[in-house]
This record gives sequence, C-alpha cells and structure tokens, in this order.
Amino acid sequence: MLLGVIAGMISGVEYSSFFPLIFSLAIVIGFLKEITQLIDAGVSLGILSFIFLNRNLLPTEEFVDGVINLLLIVAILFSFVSAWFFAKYILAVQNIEENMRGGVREGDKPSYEFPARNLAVFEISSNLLVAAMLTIGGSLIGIYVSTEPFLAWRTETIMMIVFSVSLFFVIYVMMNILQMKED
Amino acid sequence: MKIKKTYSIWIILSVTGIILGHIFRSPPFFILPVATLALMVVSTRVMPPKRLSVSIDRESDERKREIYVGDEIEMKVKIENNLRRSLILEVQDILPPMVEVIEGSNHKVMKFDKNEEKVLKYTLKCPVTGNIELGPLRIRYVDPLNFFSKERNYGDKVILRILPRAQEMQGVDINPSYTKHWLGDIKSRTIGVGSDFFSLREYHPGDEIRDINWKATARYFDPFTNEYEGEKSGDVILVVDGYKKSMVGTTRHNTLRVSIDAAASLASSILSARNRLGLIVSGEYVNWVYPGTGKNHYHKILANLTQFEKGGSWGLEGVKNLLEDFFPRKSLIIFISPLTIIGFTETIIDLSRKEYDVMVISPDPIKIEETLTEEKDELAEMICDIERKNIIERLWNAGTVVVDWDPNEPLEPALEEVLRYKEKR
Repeated sequence: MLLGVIAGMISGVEYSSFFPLIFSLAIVIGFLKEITQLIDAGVSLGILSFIFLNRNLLPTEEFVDGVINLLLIVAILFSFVSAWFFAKYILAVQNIEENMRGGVREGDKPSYEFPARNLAVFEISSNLLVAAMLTIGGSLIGIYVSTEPFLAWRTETIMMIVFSVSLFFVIYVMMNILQMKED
Repeated sequence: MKIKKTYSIWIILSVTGIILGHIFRSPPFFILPVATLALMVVSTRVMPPKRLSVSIDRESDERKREIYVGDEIEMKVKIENNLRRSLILEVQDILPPMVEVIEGSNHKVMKFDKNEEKVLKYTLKCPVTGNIELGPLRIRYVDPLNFFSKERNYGDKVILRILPRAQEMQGVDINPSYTKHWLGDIKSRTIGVGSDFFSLREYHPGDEIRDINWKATARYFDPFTNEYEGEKSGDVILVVDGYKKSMVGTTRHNTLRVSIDAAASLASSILSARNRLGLIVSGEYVNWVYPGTGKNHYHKILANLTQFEKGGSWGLEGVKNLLEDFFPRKSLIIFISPLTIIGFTETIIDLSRKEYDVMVISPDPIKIEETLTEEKDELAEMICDIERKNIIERLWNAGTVVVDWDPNEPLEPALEEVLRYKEKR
C-alpha cells in the first residue's frame, strides 16, 4: 500500500496516478487472502502502470537529474519485485507448514527450519540487490549511450532492436538449458 | 526441472516492456527487460544442480516392520547432501492418509551445507490395521527466487504391518463341542490326562510314582493311584467376512475393522485354551490358515488378518467348499460377519446342519452407522433392524449361536451373555 502511495506521489497528481495504489491494494488483498494470482496480477500491473505514468521521465538534459530519475524508477520497480518475492515466499512457507501431516508441531521447532529460513531470506535479498545494481548499471549504459548527444536516431533504433533480439535469445537459451532432461 | 510461474511472468513483463517501449518510444519501459536480464543472470547462481546428489538411509525402528495398532513407531531417515554447495531442500516422506504423525514432521524444509547429513525424524501412529506403505522420500529443490524447482523421489516404498491388538477375554470359554485327543483346557468328564482330580483306583504296574496317592495308600495298606479328569481340545475355525459389499462405515471405523479386532481377540483366547485354530478370511481372495497352535501360529493368524484385500462378490460358497474339503470336520466355526449380505445366512444354516458347530459374531452395522452420522432416518433404521433381527432369529432356530454385538462396546460381555444363555438352553 505504502509502495502504491509512493509510486503515485512520484508520478504526480493525476487520476491515473491512483493505478499503482489500486494495484498495490490488490497485492495486499492477495497476500491476506492467500491468492497468489492476485499478487502476480497486482505486481505486474502495478509495475507497468508506474512505468507508464513515468514514461517521459528519462532522459533529461541534466545527467544528475536523469540518474536520480533512473534510481527512482529502479527503486520503485525493485520495491514491487521485493514485495512480490517476499509475499510469495511467506505464503509458500505458510503453505508448507499447513501441509504438515498430522498438524502437530514439535514444540518450538517448526517444519520450516530456521537455518533454511534465514538462508532463503538472505538469498532473496542479496539476489535482488545484485539484480538492482545490474539493472541500474545496464540502464545507465543503455539509455545514455543511446541518447542523441552520443548516437544518431538510426543507431539508437538499431541498438534497441539488437538489445531486444539478444534478450529474446538469452530467454530462449535459458529455457532450453532448464528444460534439458536429467540423465 | 520445472520453470515456475514467477519466471514466466518476468518474461511476459520484459516482452511487454520492449513492445511498449517501442510504441511509446519511452526509455523507462526498457528498464523492465534490463531488470529481467539482470534477474536471469543473478538467478543462475541459485539454479538447481543438474543432478540432485542426495543419499538416503532409513534406519532403526522401521526395520521391525510390524507394530500393533495404536503403537507408536519412530521413523528416522538420514539425508546427505553430496554436492559441494549449500542447498535448501523440501523433504517429504510420503505417508498414506490414515497414518497420524504425532511427533516431529514428515515434511520439512531443511538447509544442507555441502556434504552435510541431516535426519528427518518423526513418530507415527496408525489407528487401523493393515499393511501401510511408507515412502518414497520426495525431495524438492526450490530456488529462493521461486523461478525453478526440481523434484525427485528417493528410496523405495517400505511396508509396515499394523497388527490388530487383542482384547483380553479371560471370562470367556469358547469350547468346541467336539473335542480331539490332544491335550487342551476343555474338561472331558472322562478319565484322562489332566490336572483336576477325578477318582482313585488301585495301583497298576506302570503307573507313575508321582500319581500315587500316599494318604490313601497309608490308610488302606495298598497302593492307590490318582485319576485325573481328561483335558482335551478341539478345532476352531474363524471365518472373517471381508467382502466389500458387506462393509459398513468409513475407512477408519467400519464393520471389517471391528471384525478383525474381534478375530484377533478370539484368536488369542482360543489359542491360550490350547485349542487348534484355523482362519479363513474371505475378501478379494480367500486367505486361509490350517488349524494349529502356539505363539508362531498366533502371529501367522494376525499377519493373515492384516494382509488380505477386501472385495469379492461371489458369496460364501467358496468358503463353504474350502471348509468341507480341507478343514477338519466337527470343528467349531465362528463366523464374524455383519450379516448384511442375505445369501450368507443360507450358507451358515447349511453348514450348521452338517457336522459343524457354528457360532456367528455379528458386529451391528446400524450401531456403527449411528456413531458416524448425526442425521437419522428412523424408518430406514427400523426396517434394517427388523431385517437383522429376522436373520438372527432364523440362525438361532437353525441351531447357530449368534452374538449380536454392538461394536462400540467390548466383545467380552456380549459373548459371555450369549454363551451363558446357550448353556441354559
């Protein structure tokens, strides 16, 4: 919810700035009612609506302003992503504990071991942090190298196409690697 | 390996970002595919290993493989991570639904450091008899980002036999009318081998010295020997109705379960009176055990009571033929049946007219039904009750002893009452 309010405030005072707020409300409802589909939809649409509202934010003439804008967008984007991952993680843990046969817990030792819980939280946080850093770096390079002071409009378009194609290629390769059958 | 929904959503988001970025010519939309690429690169660190290298060892108590119903058994499964990296694994020992885990958990998410060994430990209890399958062990790797999962079953299924527990029935003497020559607990009212004094007679050469009655010898100045009342035993055959059609109740509480418990109790009582005991369980197939005595035989009876399959729809004729062809004549046959299949009555009456002593112990299915449902159809219940009483009446008239047993109560008082009534008749 707070994330939605912040995203809305960043986007300015427009009617459409309520969309991130509405979608973050959907995430909260999905989390409370344990409906993962609602969380997925809320996060996806929240991210898209937030970026749509800020579609004209980058780049600016001032480099520092542009970086600040980029940081804001990446911060909000990864806040949504973090909310998404942690909400799903908490629901998964709850689900595992509820699925425990017999329903009897062994004193203070839950079925989801504390070391595993700590490691999972650490892994999620560190991975998201590294991904956010990479995103900032990648976006900075991508956006500022492709803007007019550096590159012509035609070159920018070619770069975008190359980028899109390489992204699809990476996705395709990863899918193939993942679906490889185990020996 | 499975790709999870989160991963697919990311791909859709990045594709949407590229399309919208091109449509609106807006750089912020391109941050989405960049973020996706970054997450994909990062997620390779937590990708499941190509091969989950885990070794499993089930140990200790489980090797007993047999417990009595209601007993607890501790299960221990050693799991070792043979990989050179830390893993978070969801480990689940698959159990059938009737099993209760009373301590610990058979389903845990565990962290394994490289080459670390951990033990999944839990205590289980099974409230019903039968053979239950434990395992295999399902191990699932889920990466923390919830992008991929990998699942595999390890180890084989293990069969655990849950034996019925016999109730003590010390006050009940189930004695066959026809006794055989071997030693038992049934008083024969004739002179023979036994422990109860019967009469005195003059000493004959060859009599055992310990049988000489020294008081009588001293009084009459002639050697006298004690004679004892002969104690014999007979053959008893338990026939358990395991037909699916005649079963009333739920998986946990039904006429078949109570019949098996009753059979175990009767087997214990009959064998402790040194009678020979045989068993026929008629279900999908007919399981049978030829009459015998002793502890090992009791165990064999219990094992056969647990490992049959319920089912079958071909009546009691097969059982009747088996009894007539393979089992000793003049035995006491105890049918344990809810008497819900009408055709059985005729077979029982037919057997009681032959050289068999027949007794029927019938767990009342209406009483079982009453404990399971709060809604009562009084008219239907009344009709069922009348039909049942009619069958029982017919069996009594044909010379069969019938114990109409409420399964919610212990068997011993009902049996005692009927045996007392039979003696009076």
